[in-house]
Amino acid sequence: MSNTDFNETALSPGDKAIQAESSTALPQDTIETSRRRAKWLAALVLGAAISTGQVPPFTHPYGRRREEFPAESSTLAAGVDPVLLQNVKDLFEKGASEFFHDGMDSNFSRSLLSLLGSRAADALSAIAEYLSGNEGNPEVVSEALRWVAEFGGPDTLPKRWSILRRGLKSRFPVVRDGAILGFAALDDPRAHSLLLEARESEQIRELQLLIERVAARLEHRR
Amino acid sequence: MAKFPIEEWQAQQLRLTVFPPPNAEHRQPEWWQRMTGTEPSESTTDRKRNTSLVSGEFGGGNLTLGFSPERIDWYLTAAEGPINPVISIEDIGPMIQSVDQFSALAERWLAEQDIPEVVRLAFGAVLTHPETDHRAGYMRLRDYVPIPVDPDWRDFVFQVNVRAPRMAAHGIPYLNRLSRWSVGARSSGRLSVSPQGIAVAGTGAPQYGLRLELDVNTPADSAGTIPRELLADLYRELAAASRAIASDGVAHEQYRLQ
Repeated sequence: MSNTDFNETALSPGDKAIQAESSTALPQDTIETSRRRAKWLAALVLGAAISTGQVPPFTHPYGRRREEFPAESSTLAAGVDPVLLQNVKDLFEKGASEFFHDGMDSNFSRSLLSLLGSRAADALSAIAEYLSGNEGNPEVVSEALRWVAEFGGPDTLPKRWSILRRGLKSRFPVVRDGAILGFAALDDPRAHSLLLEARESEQIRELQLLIERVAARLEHRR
Repeated sequence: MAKFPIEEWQAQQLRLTVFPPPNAEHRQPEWWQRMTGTEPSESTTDRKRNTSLVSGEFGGGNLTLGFSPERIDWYLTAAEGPINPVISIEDIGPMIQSVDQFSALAERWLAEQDIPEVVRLAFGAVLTHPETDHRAGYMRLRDYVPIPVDPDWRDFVFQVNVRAPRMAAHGIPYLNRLSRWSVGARSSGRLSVSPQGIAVAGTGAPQYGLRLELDVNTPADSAGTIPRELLADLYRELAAASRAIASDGVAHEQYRLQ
């Protein structure tokens, strides 16, 4: 579709982004579209092959458009804001020059909480995306997991849980340590079986003991 | 300009989303085959992001079952294939029939015993209605949103969530009824790919349309799970609320902004 008010175009089968006709902003999905260039080109070729030259619709449920102010009640799957993702990357890389003390805040934690405070769900999505593509500095990731666990309410719990769960499977002991402490901070008895599962595969004695302590506390809470 | 009969809405996308509790093990790609009775045509997994998709033809459209760490989605979108000259290439078909067909599958799935517990449920739809031109589309908006839209305006979008206290008896304090209204134009083009590059040329006049995006859902901040026996009824409530908005708009008295 071309633009009048919702600027969809059959010629650009990326996200069905709606952008104002008169907007001068960069297309919201430039980065994703370029990443999907191979698939887009495949669609173009297919489009050229059919008689009218129209490109079939391109559907990707986990890549909706991003909006400056997404509706708080929306259940659409949010794409990751590339600017926010870059902020997260910068933040984690900058954090690598810091030395963290248990239980103490830091420049990194303050910046992280500030980011979470302003863009909660979107920031968590960006952190999850960053961690899925990069292992990052293990000390920084570990520190992040502890703070992420404590931030937010029930609406962001699934995202935080998912980030912590991934941390439990890290190859770095310090990241697993951060994830276990994160689950301790969550204090959610539903994590009990997950921790027992992690205990089975954990090789480091200190972490085994830590898991057992946290699991016992969650068991008591049940 | 008067409201048009609800039968005239075309469905572009229909969606059922469930949010399981965080500890749920909920990935069963075989649901797709079990619900449709046919083999899916595509199955992909992104191990890094821990997401997967299963999709294939269903009822003249393309049905996708998607898993991500926090949600399960069923999507019905237009099928890829020969272009139907009567409807847009992006439309599944008439809204009423498409929703009925999708809802039959959704309700059957929600009654399955092996689906996870659900803490949040959503029904989403993208609907379009053809209009003769920009002016007609903007005049049409006046019947559906509580704003005297000027046909000389451009880039108008209206979005609102009017909560409905419907299911309080079941521990669900309200439903979110999010709707987004706009007018757009669709144009098609001819593509030619050659060693010199890709050439694009527009063909024909743009087709204008009223567009409605619906997202009717239960609250995100509910801590408890929705009783399993309530899921199908609740889904019907969500779909009915969506139909009511498509039929009446949000300018109707019951949706009037206070």
